[in-house]
Amino acid sequence: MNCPAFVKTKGFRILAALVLLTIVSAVIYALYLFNLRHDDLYTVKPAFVLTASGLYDEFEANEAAATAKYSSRVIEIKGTIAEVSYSPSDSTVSIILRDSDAPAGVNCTFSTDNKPKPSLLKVGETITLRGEFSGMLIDVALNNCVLLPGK
Amino acid sequence: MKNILILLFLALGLNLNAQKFIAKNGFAGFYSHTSMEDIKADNNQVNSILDTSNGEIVFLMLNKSFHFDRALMEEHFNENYMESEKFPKSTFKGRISNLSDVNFNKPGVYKVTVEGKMNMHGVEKDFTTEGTLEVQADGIVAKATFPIKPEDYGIAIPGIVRDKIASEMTVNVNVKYTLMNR
Repeated sequence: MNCPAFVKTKGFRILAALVLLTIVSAVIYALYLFNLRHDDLYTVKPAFVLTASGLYDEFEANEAAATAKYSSRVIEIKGTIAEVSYSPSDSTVSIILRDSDAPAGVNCTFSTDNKPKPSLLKVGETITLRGEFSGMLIDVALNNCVLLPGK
Repeated sequence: MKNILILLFLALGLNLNAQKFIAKNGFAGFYSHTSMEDIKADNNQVNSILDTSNGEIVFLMLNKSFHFDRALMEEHFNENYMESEKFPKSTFKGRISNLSDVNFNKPGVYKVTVEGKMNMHGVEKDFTTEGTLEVQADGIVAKATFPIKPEDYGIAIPGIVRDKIASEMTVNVNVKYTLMNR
C-alpha cells in the first residue's frame, strides 16, 4: 500500500488507537444515557424527610413558596394510606396519603418497574416512600415513587 | 387544594344542587409511533370533575406527572418540549354537547361528544372529541382517544429528532369518577 510515511510511525498508531477508543467510548456512553432508567430512589439520598401531612400543610400555607422549595426534589414522606387506585392497564399504581381529618393529602404514583405488591398497600396502613415532586392539584403530587419497607 | 377546588368550581359554576363527580387518579397517556422509535408516557394523577346536571367537565394534569420508561426522555419532555417549569399544568374545560343522550340512572355505555378549550404549553385552542361515558353502579368511567399535534400548541420539535417523534400523537384518556361527597 502507498501510505504516507508518518502512518507507519509508532506515534501515529498510538494516536489512531486513542481516537478509535474515544469514539467507541462515546458511542457506548451515549447508548447508556439513552437507555438509562429512572434514578433508583432506593439509593438516592432524599432532599427532605417529613410526614405526608406536614408536606401538605406547607402547600396549604403557601403553595408558591412550597412549589419553589420542592421543585424536582426527591422527598421521603411517611403517612397513612387513604386511597389506592390502579391505572387502566395496571402499569402504575397511585396511592393517596392523607390524615382522616384532612381535606386532601399527597398523591404518589409508583411506576411499572417498582410497583409494590398490592398486599403492601392497604387503606389505613402507615407507610414510608420516596418520590420526585411534580406539583400540586387537589393533592400534592409525587412521581416515580418507591416504597421503603419496614420503616 | 383550596386554590384548585375554587378554580374547578369557578369553571363549573357554583350550582350547589349539582351532581358533581370527581376523579383524582384519572389516566391520560400519549403514544408516538415512527419507524425510528415508539414513545409512550402515562399520567395516572389526572384530576377531573364532571357535573352531570349540565354536562360540564374539567380536566387538570401536571406535566411532570407523566412517566416515561426512559429517564432521559422524561427529562427532555419536561425541559425541552413541555417546558414544565414555565407551564406546569395542562387543562381542558368543556361540556358534553349531547347530554340528553346519557341516562345517568341507567348503567350502560353512552357515546358522547365533548367540546371545549384545551390549554397546553401556554396555548389555548378549541377542541372537540368523541368519547364514551360508562355509567356504573359505583361511579362513571369516561374514555376518549384522539390525536394531538405538538406543533398546534407551539411545541417545536428540532429537525435532528424529527424522525423519532410523530407529528401526531395518540392520546388516551380513561377516568373513573365517584360522587363528590360534599
